[in-house]
Amino acid sequence: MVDLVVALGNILDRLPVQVLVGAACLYLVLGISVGSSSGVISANVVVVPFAPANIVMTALSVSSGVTTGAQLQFNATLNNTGYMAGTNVIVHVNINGPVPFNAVYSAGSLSPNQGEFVTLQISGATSATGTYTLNSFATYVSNSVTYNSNTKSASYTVASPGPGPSPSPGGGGGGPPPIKAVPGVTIGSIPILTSTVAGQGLTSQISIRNNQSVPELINFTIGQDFSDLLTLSTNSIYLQPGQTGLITATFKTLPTTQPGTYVIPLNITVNDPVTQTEYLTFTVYSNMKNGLQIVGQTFLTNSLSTLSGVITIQNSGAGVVRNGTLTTMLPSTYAKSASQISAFGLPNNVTLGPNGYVINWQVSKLQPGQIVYAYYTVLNQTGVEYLSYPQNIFSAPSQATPLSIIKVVDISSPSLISNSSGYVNVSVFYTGTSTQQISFYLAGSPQSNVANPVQTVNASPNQLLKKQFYVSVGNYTGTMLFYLYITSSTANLTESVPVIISPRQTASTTASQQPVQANLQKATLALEAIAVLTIVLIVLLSILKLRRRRPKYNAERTRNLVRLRKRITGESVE
Amino acid sequence: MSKPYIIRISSQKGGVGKTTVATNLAAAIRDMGYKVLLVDFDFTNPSVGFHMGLEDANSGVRAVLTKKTTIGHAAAVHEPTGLHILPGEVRGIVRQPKAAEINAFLSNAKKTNYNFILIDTAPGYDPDIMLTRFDEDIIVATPDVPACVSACRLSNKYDKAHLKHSLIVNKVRNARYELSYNEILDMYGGEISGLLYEDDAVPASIAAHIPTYVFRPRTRFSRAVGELSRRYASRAGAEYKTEGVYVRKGLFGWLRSFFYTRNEK
Ligand SMILES: Nc1ncnc2c1ncn2[C@@H]1O[C@H](COP(=O)(O)OP(=O)(O)O)[C@@H](O)[C@H]1O
Ligand SMILES: [Mg+2]
Repeated sequence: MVDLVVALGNILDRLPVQVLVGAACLYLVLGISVGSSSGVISANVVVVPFAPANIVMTALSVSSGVTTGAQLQFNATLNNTGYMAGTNVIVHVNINGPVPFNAVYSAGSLSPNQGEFVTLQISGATSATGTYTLNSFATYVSNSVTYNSNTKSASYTVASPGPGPSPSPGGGGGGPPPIKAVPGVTIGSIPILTSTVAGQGLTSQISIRNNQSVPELINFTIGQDFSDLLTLSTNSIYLQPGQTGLITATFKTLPTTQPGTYVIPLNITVNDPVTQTEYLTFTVYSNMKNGLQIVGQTFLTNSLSTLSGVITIQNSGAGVVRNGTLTTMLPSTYAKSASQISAFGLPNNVTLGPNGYVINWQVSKLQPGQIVYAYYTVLNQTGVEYLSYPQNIFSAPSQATPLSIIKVVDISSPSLISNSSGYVNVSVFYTGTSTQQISFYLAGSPQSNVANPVQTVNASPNQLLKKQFYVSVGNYTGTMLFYLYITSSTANLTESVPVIISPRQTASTTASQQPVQANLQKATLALEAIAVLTIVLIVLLSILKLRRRRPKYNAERTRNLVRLRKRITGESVE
Repeated sequence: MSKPYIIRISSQKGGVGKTTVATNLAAAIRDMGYKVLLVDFDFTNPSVGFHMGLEDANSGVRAVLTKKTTIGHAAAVHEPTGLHILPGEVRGIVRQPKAAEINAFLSNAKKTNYNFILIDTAPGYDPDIMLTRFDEDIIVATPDVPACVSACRLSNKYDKAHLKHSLIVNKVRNARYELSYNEILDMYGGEISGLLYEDDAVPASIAAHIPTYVFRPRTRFSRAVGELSRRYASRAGAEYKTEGVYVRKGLFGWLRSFFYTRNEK
């Protein structure tokens, strides 16, 4: 017996492992088909997937031909080619170039075979001209291990916009200049950053207070060339001591206005000839996007301590937008802590991340053309001097590939004889990410009857669903086709189920069939037992073989190697 | 990472897989988004061109060495990977370049805007080459005594020349007669940066004239090359995260280690 095992081991040594594994699979298949084709013994094989998720970024593109201040469109496609769901999928975007920029976007979960198309609108990634490289990859968790996907790269070039009303070069990557004190008056609020889409306008208010003991006339003039873009409700205001006045500033653009960043000087003249110039930064985005879009952004400050921002979001596409998110990133120099930032208007949360404060806004549903506003204020702001632009990232809702969340694992149909009945067994693997209702409907032909044709189940993620239908057939022989319809709110599936019906035997032959069936049952059991034993033996021998093949430690050889090494390096040989 | 990081691939013994390592590592570093130049410095039997399907390209290296043209003009672009390549000259009798020509080449190479330059060499050891001109050297060996003895010799020479080096063990089969990891480490004395398994995909991809890393990206060989490329890129100051890519934990990792760990002393 020992000799036999050694001899077998030697034979196995010469066989490649693939052959052994192949043989094992063949036995498994044979074993199962023996079991099920007899129609007597049912073998239930449940395959449990244990390989983790494998998320691959298959495509990455960014919009080309962008000009300073325009929004950058980022598209990536993720596919899960593994066998388990990947959760906590996060898309990382690292931009290197004249103004580096990093962003992360949470893409939720991906079921096996599911694809997701991620679209982000990034503003703030185009604030200076030059060539940028963008690297992106996803991290995800599967089986409580964190994995990285492959990295994809793309590059884009930001050019300055063509001739027009001179958007400022370089677009203010460093942010607008600080607000300075004007002698005798206090600027209560002033927009320092405003953005809109070409062809639209925005209004905001400038408030100003006379601090002197005498009345004061305050004049406003807008820098040349910019009077088309910025208009004021009045050019001068007369204020009593201690009085506060309000002026409405309207930024207005034509559809033909060049996208870009404009820095508009506003001269405030007090007590003529003392003049103070404030610079208002104004960004125009091109209006060529479909779907969720930022159509305007105003950023106000007063010279004391409060900043406030208003973001206007519009659905400019033709369909309803669901579950959109907007991420606003504020530099960490803005505030002392996240509690100083309050955000309202849309459901949101504010956190402090490695790149500054992050406000995540939820846009749960937006009809075509509908506009919503997001507001935030920063109390006790700390960083006006270091102000740089708030950055916004838009994510369009992810699109799941349809049909992929329901997979048929097995459909077994009975072999029937005419005027009899049997069971159709169906097992289906549900790989969706949330619990949902799935309906099964088995439809037959006029000569048949299904006792329980409709069955509904609440399926939870990664659940194996098993359904049984009781079918009876009439006086019919041949192949009868049944149809199985599986429906859920997001996926539908149709399978045809052929049932073979053989003619009924005469009474005498039917009687003699009983012992034949019993014998067949015994024979199949024996076959199955042999198959299982053989598989176990092969698996054990394969393991033995793999272990035997490992390099063998040889003390004598190691000593010789050391001697060789010493001869080469010139160390003394003992 | 302002200057190009120059990596030389060498071995004293022939046929250990220098060209295979050079072409695949170059393709993998390129895949990370870096600008990579691959140079064939094997003047006796240049084969980078055969591995990459560029056998019809003009001899880039020779023209640059003899100052007929510049690196920028001579480099051929390998379409499937975007690699820039200076292939060698396929001819009957070949003139070995002078030391001064090689020195001039390396000075000029340092002025290019590639992120990485990988240099494939002929087997042996050329005393004329200024080893300090390279940022580091990868020694390739197979897990047998002749290859490891020659790796030991090179390691000794490079240590004296103060050239940073590491070892890639190629064509590993985990066979009983192979040298074990500890024996190789003992012999070589430096850092073993990775093991590459023997894989049929390698000769298959050489026949197809496409680096294995591109031709069969899912093989164990290609995944190991990917991991090695991230490791070497990070030494040049490039960022990379290795977490979760190749390190397997838990039951699965334990099962794997059961079959693949080398004998410990
Ligand atoms: N990991 C590997 N698996 C299988 N074959 C390999 C492997 N590495 C190299 N080879 C084979 O070894 C031969 C020599 O490789 P090559 O790279 O040309 O060596 P060198 O450049 O050192 O002379 C090639 O024919 C190649 O197919
Ligand atoms: Mg070679």
